[in-house]
Amino acid sequence: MIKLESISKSYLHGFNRSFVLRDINLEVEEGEFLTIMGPSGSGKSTILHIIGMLDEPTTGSYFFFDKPVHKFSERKRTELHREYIGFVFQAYHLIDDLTVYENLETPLLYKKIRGGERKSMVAEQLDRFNMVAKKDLFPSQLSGGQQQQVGVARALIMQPKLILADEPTGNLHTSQGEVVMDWFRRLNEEDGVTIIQVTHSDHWASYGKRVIQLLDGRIESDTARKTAAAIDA
Amino acid sequence: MIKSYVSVALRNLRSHRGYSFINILGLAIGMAAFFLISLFVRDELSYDRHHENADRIYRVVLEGTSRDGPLNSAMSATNWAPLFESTIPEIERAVRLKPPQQMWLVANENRKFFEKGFIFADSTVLDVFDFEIVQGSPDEILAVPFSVIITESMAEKYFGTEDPLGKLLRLDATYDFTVTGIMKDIPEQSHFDADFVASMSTLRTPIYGNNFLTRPLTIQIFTYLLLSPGADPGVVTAKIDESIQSTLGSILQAVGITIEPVLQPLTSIHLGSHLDNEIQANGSMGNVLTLSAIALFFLLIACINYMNLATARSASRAREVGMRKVLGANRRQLIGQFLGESTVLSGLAVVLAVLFLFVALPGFNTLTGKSLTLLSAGLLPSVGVFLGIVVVCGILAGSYPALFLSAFKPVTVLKGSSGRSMGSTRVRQVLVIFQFATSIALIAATVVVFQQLEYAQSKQLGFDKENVVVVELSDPQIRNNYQALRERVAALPSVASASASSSAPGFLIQRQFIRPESAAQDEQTFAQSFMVDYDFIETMGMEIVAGRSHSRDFPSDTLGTFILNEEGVKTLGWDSAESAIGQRIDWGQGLIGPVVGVVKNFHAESLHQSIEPAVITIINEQAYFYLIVRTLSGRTAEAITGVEQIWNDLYPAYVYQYTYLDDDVARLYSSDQQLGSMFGGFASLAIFIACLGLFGLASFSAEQRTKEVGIRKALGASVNSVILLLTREYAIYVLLSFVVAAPLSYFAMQRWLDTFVYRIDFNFGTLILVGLAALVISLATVIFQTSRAATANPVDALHHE
Repeated sequence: MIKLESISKSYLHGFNRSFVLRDINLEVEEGEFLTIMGPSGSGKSTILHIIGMLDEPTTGSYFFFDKPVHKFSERKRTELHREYIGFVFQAYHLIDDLTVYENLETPLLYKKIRGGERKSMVAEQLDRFNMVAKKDLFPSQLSGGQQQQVGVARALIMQPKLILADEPTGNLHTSQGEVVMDWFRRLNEEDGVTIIQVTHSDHWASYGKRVIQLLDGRIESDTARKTAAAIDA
Repeated sequence: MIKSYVSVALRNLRSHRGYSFINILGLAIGMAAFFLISLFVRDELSYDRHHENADRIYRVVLEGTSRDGPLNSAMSATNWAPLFESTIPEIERAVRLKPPQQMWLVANENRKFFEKGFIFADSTVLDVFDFEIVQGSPDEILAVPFSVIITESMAEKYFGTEDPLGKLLRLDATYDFTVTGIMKDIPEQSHFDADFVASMSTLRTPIYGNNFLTRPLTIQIFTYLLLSPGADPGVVTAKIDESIQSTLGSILQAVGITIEPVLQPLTSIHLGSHLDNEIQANGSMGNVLTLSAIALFFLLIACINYMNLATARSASRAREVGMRKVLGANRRQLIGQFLGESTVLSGLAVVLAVLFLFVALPGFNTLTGKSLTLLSAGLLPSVGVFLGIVVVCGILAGSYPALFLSAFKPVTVLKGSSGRSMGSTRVRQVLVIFQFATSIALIAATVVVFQQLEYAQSKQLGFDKENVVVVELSDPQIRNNYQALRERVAALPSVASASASSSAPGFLIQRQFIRPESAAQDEQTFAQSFMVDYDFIETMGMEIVAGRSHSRDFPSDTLGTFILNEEGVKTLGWDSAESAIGQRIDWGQGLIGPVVGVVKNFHAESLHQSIEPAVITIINEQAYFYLIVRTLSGRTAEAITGVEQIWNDLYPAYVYQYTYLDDDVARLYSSDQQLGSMFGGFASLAIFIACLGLFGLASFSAEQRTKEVGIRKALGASVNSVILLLTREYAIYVLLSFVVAAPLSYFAMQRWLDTFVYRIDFNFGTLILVGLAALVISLATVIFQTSRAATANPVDALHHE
């Protein structure tokens, strides 16, 4: 599904070039649940943004379902990510001026889905996440956990094949975090959605099946691990 | 999608009320000014277009030269129209119009009014122009002498509910006209007034003198031609020229005049024709263009306000943009959203603008002497224009923010750094500078116009315009009894002296040919001519530089003695004022006599015109159109009532009408005054809009720089030094605007001043004062915001981060 070949990302600071990512090679199959770990500044988020087509690598090739993303125009990348990818952020990143309902509806609008269908899709999602009563509230009227729930619901509404989660539980209490991670696990196991998450915590990493450790922009280790369920058992 | 754009836009407006208010107010003022000017411009451009055949109607005017220089007359000869119509096949119809030279007294028994719209016209007037006859038969109503068509409003004014047809109207207390028809009022957008249209054949009687219609070369009438469809005006002009040369060639040669006919398209008269003896003061294409440019500038600076504020607020919207992109928005969709927002805002602004327009129109109408209404252009076109402006402003104002905001990279804004100053400051600076430059230029223009007007008011005109009252002697009967009037008026204790003249500054100045008796017959000089009573020089406060004034001690003064102005002495070829004394002048009409005095040059006309030769001579009372009364200082009111009592005693049947000479002189500058007031109004609006924008910018900038201010204060900066730091930026903007505006105003105002022969010099000191004023105004606008930012507690700012 995803194939990164010698991906580097660097910035010019004055006369010095500072590397955020160096020569990353990574393949992710459809249906994986991958965790990217590493200290601050190791390049976790950057990898995620490159995979999510929000950022471009300085050098290297990126194939998404065998399509050469690194050669695509911005418009084409937008189409691709709109079609396949959902994002969940640590800071939720809901749109403050929109209600819960409208936040969920926004990706559908951009995909030009018709009114009737849009309504039923939003309704279904509200129902699925138990948020029907909150649909007319604004983000500022929700708790952090509820906001992240909207964030996840929004990411899922287009039924993406890939979910990219940047410390999705970072701002949440553990119990709220569990709810979110349970969603991810269920999506991964039941619907075969590919999930790539960035986290600092071993606990949240344990939800995934494979862990990549980054250090100073390089892949330090790439290990398959038992799922939390397996550990529990 | 559109629905979503609109609801998001409205919500955005509501949640940022201050920002929206500034934006909508600025845009609304800009739009209102734009609409106002558009109405004016549209009105000016629509003159005389209501005639169905407007594109085939031409006026015959004359260009040429006399020995004294160019000759430009809007009038042509009284006997040409019938001649041309019968001899030139391309002319379908010709009509002569004779508007009055002054107000006529029109009376239906006791209903008497002075009217300026009493014109004489050939019966063909109804074929050429579209006068809509509502009563009377068009074929007959102007057939016989002393018949008149009146407009509906005149019918009501003179006859109330009675049927006017067949009733009499008395003109000038002498001539009875029968009302033979009633027509609809003619539109205001016409280069002549016509409330009464009387039959041209009436003028066979000597209202305007004997043989008025048949005397050759009586250049005292307006000739209009309706050409056949497809006729070439060039060909017609050539044929007219031929006709003139063959009938008048020898006479013209004898008096040393060349004339050349010119056909003016009817629709170009109002804005394009500024000849001598125009029926009314015409508009100016230059003003229309200037105002159109100002209107566009207004829209532009209002839109720039929006751009400025929207981009200044970009930091707070960056996250939203980033998020929307993550959710799959492409750039086009985001541009759509931002354009939607600006269009919604501009829709709200247009509502407010229409409200402003409603409030401002009466004042604007007073200023311009027009009667514009909100829907002057008709309901549908007006609404169309309003909607058009909403879209244009929406797109114009929204374009830059839309392109700018939609270009944000999601990664940069989502990384958490709230995307502080987004690198657009350069563009924003340019926009602010443009706004202020426009404002400064407009203010400078206003100041220069008023300085020139002030100069015109205070310049030594060669006579003393203060404490002089001018009373109209509009009727031969009044003039017959002039001596009694003058004697009693002169005897009033509040009156210093009284005289009379054929014309006075501020009124139509007559001109005629004079020559030194010794000169050849054809060496004529065209001179302003004043036919006066004794004491004219004294009453007007003119200054004798050589010789003497007319005086009752010299009874022969009534037999042809002349006073020239200095320019007249020069033009007639004498070396000095002294040497002119005793020289003999042929004044025309058999009057030949010596020059007895020379007066200092005086400005009978506006300072737009140069001083011309002038000749002052004593003629009998039938030439006196104005009684001129110099009152004792401070006793003018007393004098006016005194004269009124005498008037009512002598002329119970006539209306007493007077003006102040200084008003008459000021009236010469009414269009300049109008221009100045308009500039003034628009300049204040422009600077207001610019300040609104600046205020908005300052508040956002203050908000954005709270952290910087906090750090500076934590490091020990004083409040004052921080205020200075934050304010300096705006001072620099204004200075740069000044640098842009100064040369522009300089060149534009030099050109305007050049329309005056007597003018002030462009004063750079004034320009600098205007710049300083703009600086003070703008700093006053931002100081509140900057001082609030500077006095904020640094801990709050830093803690927040």
